[in-house]
Amino acid sequence: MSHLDTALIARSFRDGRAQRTALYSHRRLVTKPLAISLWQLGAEPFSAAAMGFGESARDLRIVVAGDPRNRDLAFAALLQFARWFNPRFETHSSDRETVARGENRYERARKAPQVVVANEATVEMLGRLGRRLAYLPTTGARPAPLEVVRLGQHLLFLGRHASVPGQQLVVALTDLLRRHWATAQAEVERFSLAALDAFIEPPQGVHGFDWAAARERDSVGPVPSGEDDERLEPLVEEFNTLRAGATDPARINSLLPPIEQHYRPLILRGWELMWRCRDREAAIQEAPSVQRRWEEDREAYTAHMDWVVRDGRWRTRQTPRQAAMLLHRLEEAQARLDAEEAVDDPLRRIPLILDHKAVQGTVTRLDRDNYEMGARSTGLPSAGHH
Amino acid sequence: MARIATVLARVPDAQDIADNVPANVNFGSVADATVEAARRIDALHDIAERVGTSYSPACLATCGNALFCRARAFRAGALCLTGPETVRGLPGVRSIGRAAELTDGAPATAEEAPVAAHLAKAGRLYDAVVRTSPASRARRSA
Repeated sequence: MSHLDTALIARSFRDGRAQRTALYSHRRLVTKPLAISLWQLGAEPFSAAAMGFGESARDLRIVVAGDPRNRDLAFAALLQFARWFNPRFETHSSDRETVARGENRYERARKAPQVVVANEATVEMLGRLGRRLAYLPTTGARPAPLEVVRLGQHLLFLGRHASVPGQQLVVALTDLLRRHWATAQAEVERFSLAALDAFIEPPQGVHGFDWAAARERDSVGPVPSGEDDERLEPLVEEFNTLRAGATDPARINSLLPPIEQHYRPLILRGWELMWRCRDREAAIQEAPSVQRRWEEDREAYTAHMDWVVRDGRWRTRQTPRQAAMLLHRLEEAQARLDAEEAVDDPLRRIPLILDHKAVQGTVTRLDRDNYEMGARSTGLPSAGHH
Repeated sequence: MARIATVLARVPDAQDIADNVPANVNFGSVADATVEAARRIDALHDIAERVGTSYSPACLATCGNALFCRARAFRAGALCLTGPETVRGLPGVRSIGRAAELTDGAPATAEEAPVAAHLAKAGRLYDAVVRTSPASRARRSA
């Protein structure tokens, strides 16, 4: 934690609201993202009990599984989600541009989809769903629907790509807000989207702490609160009694409304919060380097789509060599992200100035003939400054 | 084994803790469900005043009373409110509110001096950027 972080936390405490840690927005937010809200059933982390999704605040579709512990019911719900998600996720893949880099020429999609979720826990759940679905057999005794397997491949990709520093294909709003705002909250409290939002925009005259304390219990998924789960339990039990082992949609659909009515207010609460937070950040000017990282994201998306079309598979466990190379790539991306943010944004430079890793001043004179020689040469002429 | 023995030796003895509690401090009036809620909370505050609390954000995960202690830490402006990093980052500073004053360049006491210089510089650099940059109010046109 830098002295700037500490200073801004102190000011956030004094002023009762969050302080910006960046002048610009360092992540792209596209105009029509694929927003997703996921809910799991109690502590069952590998299946979705309820899903809310849409491309704008007013466009919300809700699908519930009934009892997601039953594979057929869970997959029936996921199939509906896959039929919405897959075409929207895949549509950008066919529109390509050719990029020349040195001798090499390669294609990349002109646009890429962006998935927006409330928090990192939802990103992890997307990855877990992907891990479960991506490699299911689509033939044999109990075939999985093709669309669901395809959905799994996309989610697995997103779950992996989410660990790339500065990537923008999956935006977890808690992560986005934490990187752009300092609040007088403990780190663990800053994982709640409701609490973060409360500190950023409290009502007039109310301290962010009090407003956050009032709102932090509003879960936005994927893990339900204990009280919500207690209200759900009798509904699921009744659902299971009435369906008497049946899983055919004709029978099930008429039994789902009570469970959907349970989830609807929960999803709506998080939905409204998600879009408000997203729109507030989207109104802030984008930093210049975002464009380069978006190009990298488009390249990763293109490579994934080409791989999926060829029915490509990933090892479930990396070889030591793969792991080492991945770690190297992630570290490079992190170093580059830090450098780009510092170059783009004068607020991001302050911690470096305080640590004496950067200097601040005005260039007064440039000696074009005087180069630093040797292996560590920067290739830049030496400059005088004060 | 030696390490475990050291750790175990440091676990406070329950009897020592009980002996240190001031006389007539107990949860009787707090636990009395027949008394109105506000009076019971006052009684809890009274105990906290006399015995003290030791809040840290880690309490939120395990203790039913954590929100009570957190609210007290907030009212007092205690450094522990925002976690151990803040406590470590502000040696010699008595409260978060005081740290905010130091970011504005308030005169520091001898104890605060080492960290006050950093806070004042951070505050000064931050204010200079926010004041002068057009981007601080810029909004994307689209």
